[in-house]
Amino acid sequence: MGGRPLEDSELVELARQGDVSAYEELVRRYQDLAARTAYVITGGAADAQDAVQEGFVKAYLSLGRFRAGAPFRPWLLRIVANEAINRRRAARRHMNLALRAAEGRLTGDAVPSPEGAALAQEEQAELLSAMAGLRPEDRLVIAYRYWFDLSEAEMADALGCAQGTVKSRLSRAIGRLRAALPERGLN
Amino acid sequence: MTSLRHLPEAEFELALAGIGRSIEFPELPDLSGLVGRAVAHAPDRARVPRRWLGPVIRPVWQPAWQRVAVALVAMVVVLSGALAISPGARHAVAGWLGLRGVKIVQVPSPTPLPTGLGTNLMLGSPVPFAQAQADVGFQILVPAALGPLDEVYFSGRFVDGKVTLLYRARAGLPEAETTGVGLLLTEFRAGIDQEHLEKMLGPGTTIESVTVNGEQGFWIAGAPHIELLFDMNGEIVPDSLRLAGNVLLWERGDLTLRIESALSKEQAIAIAESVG
Repeated sequence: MGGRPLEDSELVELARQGDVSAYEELVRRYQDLAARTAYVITGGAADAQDAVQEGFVKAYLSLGRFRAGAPFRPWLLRIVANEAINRRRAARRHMNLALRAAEGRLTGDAVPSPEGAALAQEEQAELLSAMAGLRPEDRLVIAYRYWFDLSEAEMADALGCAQGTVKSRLSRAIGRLRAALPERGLN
Repeated sequence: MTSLRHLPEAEFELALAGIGRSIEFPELPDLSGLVGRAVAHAPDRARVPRRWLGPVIRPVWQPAWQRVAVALVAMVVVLSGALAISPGARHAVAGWLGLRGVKIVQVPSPTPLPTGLGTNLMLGSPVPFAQAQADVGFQILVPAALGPLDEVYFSGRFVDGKVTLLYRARAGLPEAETTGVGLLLTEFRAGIDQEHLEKMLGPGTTIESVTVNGEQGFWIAGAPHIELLFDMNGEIVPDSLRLAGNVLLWERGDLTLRIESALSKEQAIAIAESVG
């Protein structure tokens, strides 16, 4: 391989021809995003890792059905998310407060994001708690949009829905998130 | 300042984006090698695996390919290190492997308990023994050494079906960490490729050739491992992946049997030899 990094589509094509190292490059490229996606659903690092591993293997075995030229990233995320959802169903666990903010940022030890700084610690905890109480599918659509910066087209691919329904799904998820937040006012 | 619940849309979106940057997402080790090893040994339609042992066992992807519902295969990984990262995954899954066989046995007919100890192990559906026997395409074998079984599970993902007999933990049959039960005996028709197995086991897991009633078997022990099962289309059987503990695999005719338990090798073989 030459100097420039290969595009996803090139790596996918190589992988389809049996080039495992090309697929390993795709794993390195997207395992973090895949892990975040799985974590949003499972709320546990161990289950997230399992879902990612299994998702990558299944995606490889499904490359024969992958539409040439289609974006790889949302297609992979869809497989990983399905794995995570199945795993979560099988485990039948409560998510509780599995989404935890980094300790330092909650306590102010680390430099928070400007937006995060605008929220009091209590509010951050409330928001995370409300997120954790949502259905995994709602958490996912919110995470894709606000945390992972997926485009609408990518979200549609990753969620397996028409592009036109992404907005409505997001809107409903946010509505449920708002409803899950405490009613009380804050000075 | 208003409650988060009633923040204007733009501010609420900003808050959401901000909180996303404060979440402590898990940082995984580089999985590329792990995944690469798994897919490198995935079934290749153009490749026929070598025989794993003596003449009793046919290679899985040979002509038998046409009639064997599921071709077993690879065992991926998960070594002690990975396990340390994901301890919670232990009870999340259900796994195996295959050889194949046929055999006879006299069968008791216990009624499955409603408690469903195995319902989270992805073993299939709980069924009465008689129904499992009616559904599978082979005679279910039962180990005489274990006494009455507690639950029976059937999965139709294999051509001739797959049955799992579940035994609760009890005196002399300690609870296995990976399953939460005393012992699982799984029976199905498939095949195993020793070469693949050995390549895909992590350093914390060992595979040892053993003999069960004169027939070849494998004792897989050490760090919990993941076993992947592939169907004849080369796709992973969705319910085939979970961490597995100590496993004894052996063949009876064209039937593959698999015991998963917390027992020692000698104890597991003794139970295996009472099957029949």
